[in-house]
Order: sequence, then structure tokens, then C-alpha cells
Amino acid sequence: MKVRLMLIIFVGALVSACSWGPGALEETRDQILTVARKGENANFTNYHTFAIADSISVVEDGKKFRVDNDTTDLIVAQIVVNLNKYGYTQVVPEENPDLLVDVSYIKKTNTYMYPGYWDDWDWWWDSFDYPWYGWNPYYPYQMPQFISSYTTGSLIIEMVDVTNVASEQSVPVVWHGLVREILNGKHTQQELFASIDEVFEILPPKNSK
Amino acid sequence: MKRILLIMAICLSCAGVAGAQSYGNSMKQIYSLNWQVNVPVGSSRDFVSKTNFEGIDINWAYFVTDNLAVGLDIGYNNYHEKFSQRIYRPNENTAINAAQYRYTQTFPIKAQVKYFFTPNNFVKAYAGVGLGALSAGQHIVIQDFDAWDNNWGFLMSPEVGVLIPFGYDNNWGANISAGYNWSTNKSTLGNIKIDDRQSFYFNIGLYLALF
Repeated sequence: MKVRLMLIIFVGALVSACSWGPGALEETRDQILTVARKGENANFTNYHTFAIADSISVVEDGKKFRVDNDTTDLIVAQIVVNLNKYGYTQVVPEENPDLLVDVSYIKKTNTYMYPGYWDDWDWWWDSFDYPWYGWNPYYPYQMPQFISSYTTGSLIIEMVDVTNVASEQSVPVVWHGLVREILNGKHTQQELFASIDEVFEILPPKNSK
Repeated sequence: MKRILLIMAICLSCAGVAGAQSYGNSMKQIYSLNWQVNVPVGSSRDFVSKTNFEGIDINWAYFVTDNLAVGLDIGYNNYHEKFSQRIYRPNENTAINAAQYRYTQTFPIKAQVKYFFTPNNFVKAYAGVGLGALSAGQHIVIQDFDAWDNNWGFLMSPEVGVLIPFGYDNNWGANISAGYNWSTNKSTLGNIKIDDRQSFYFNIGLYLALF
């Protein structure tokens, strides 16, 4: 009888040892994630001014459109507060800013989101004519993949260097910030503002040294 | 009468010794399957510090003398731990602030030499040492993002244990052993420096002896 009991305990222990799935991993998925990335060769001392649109780009099931409402105004204002904090001055697009800032909201996607899928730079050159027409933003670094069909309500902030846009057709995305799933309806406005501040704090858009 | 009893006792004990010497240890091979628990020690605790209960060990020993056995040992271990929100910097131009799930999967494989102190007793105690290699795969999982590295190292493992048969006539029973793994695996994943991997391990399992 004792032998049987021992066998049962042993088999139970082995089965538990074999069930090596990362159970606690799921618990880490429910928390806010912020990612910031900047270009290796970007020299942020060259940048002093930026322009940002009042509206933000919304991506939903492969469609992109612009939204301008009270919430987007608050988001844009919080981003401006942070950029001012790091010494950047807001100007209108016609004043030839050093940086253009675009904000995207991935409301829902059923597709794989490759870097740049969400950006809406076309809107910029449709809204403000030459000299931006025809340029091609690119990422001079590899982007971590944090947007998938499982994520909804992610906020993306991107800054492109347009100091040489008149002579160069390609302009680099020099800073990228992502707050994953912050706009999925489960977070407060305070958490939204705090996470925007956080994405700037973990890797500010300035030179490291 | 006392003298006769004394002579008989001496004769019986001599016969017993002679029998034991001629019969010897009749076990030729031992196979064992064990559940293994590992307690990480040293710098590997900086990556995952929790005790690992998800381990398995398979062992084979072949007797080359009555007391000495050589064999092989392979295993699998899965160390894992959840961490609250913290900044992970894969390089100076990237920062990811999120909860982390870290795990390390290790595969030790080693040749072993075991010395059985009491191979003829009911409980067979042994001590041994294993030399081999350890493969360690380390992961930092942040939601859909998985940063990982894999490394190999030289492995050395002293071990002590006992075999306890389930009855006098049984050629199978319980194996209980404990040891220490030390390997030269190194890693800097997530800027967490691991100079070597060390752990105390405990095996509990079943063995089968072939005669």
C-alpha cells in the first residue's frame, strides 16, 4: 500500500515537472508596457523645434483615419509638455521645424503590424504642401515587435528628422515611443498621462552623454 | 558446551564472510528516473532566484567492480520567475519598461562514477562525481518580445545518495540523492552578469537494478 502511495506521489511529481509551461507569463501581459527607441546616429543637439498635429492617426483593421477630439487634444498636449521639458520649442509646420511629431493610435488590428504600418506621414504632405511631399521616412534601427492582433489601444509617438528634407528624400525616424494597450478602455486618464511621461523618461529624446 | 558454541559461531561467521566474498555484489546495472528540485546558487540567482521544481533526471550506472559503477546522467530543468515592472535595456538606444517573465532551461549531460559503500546491504549508499556539459537557454519575456541567449559550459557534479528497495526480494525501489552542479556557463543577457551556474539539486525517483 505504501509502495502504491509512493508511486502515485512520484508520478504526480513527474507530471508536474513535465508541465513546464510559463504559467506566470500570462500575468505579466496585463500590465502597461512602454518602449522607447532612438536612432543610433541621431544627434539631438541639432534639433530645437518641432511641429505636431492636433489630430492623431487611428488604425483600425487596416484602415487609417485622423481623429481630433478632447482626448486626442489631451494626449497631444501631454506630449508637448514632455517635449518642452527636454528643450524643444513647438512651431507651426510652415516654420520649417527640425522635427515632425506624429501620434498614432492602434485601435484594433487583425494584421501583423510591421514598423511604419501605423504612420500617417501622407497626411502631413497632403495637409502641408512642399517641401515634405515625396519623402520617405525610415527606421535606422530594428523595432521590437509589440503590436500584434492580440493588442488593442496602443499609442505610438514618432519623431522624424526633417532638417534636410529639402535636399534628401529619405528622413529618419529618430525617436519612437510606444505605450501598449493604454487606450483599451481599462486605464484611467491619470495612467494615460503617466505612461506618456514614462515613455519619455525611460529614454529621453536627447543625446545619451 | 560453551567451547562448541563458540567454534560453531566462528565457523558460521567465517562461512558468511566467505559466502559474501564469493557471491559479491550481483547488481550489474541500475536505471533510475527521478524528479529533480534545484536551488540556484551564486550569480545565476540574479537572473532567476526561485527554487526550480520542474526538473527531471535520467540515470544509468554500470558496475565495473562490486563497489564501483560508471554511467551517464541526463536531465532537464526549468527555472522561472516573474518580475514586476522594470526597465530592460537591450542596448543604449532602446528601453522597455514592463513586467518581465524570466526563465532558464538547462540540459545537463554528464558521465558519472559512483562508489557504493554498501552494495550488499538493504540500503545501498553511494557517493559519486559527474563530469560533462551543461546547456543553458535564458529568456527574458516581455509580453510578445522574447530576448534570449544560449550557452554551453563544462559541468562538474559531486553527488551522494541511497537506493532503498521496496522489499528484500525487489530489484527496484526508491532513489534519493543530493548533489551540487557547478558549470562554467556565462551570460550577460539583460545586462545581468552570470559568471557561472551553480545549484544544489535533490533527486527523488525510482530505480531498477538488473542482475
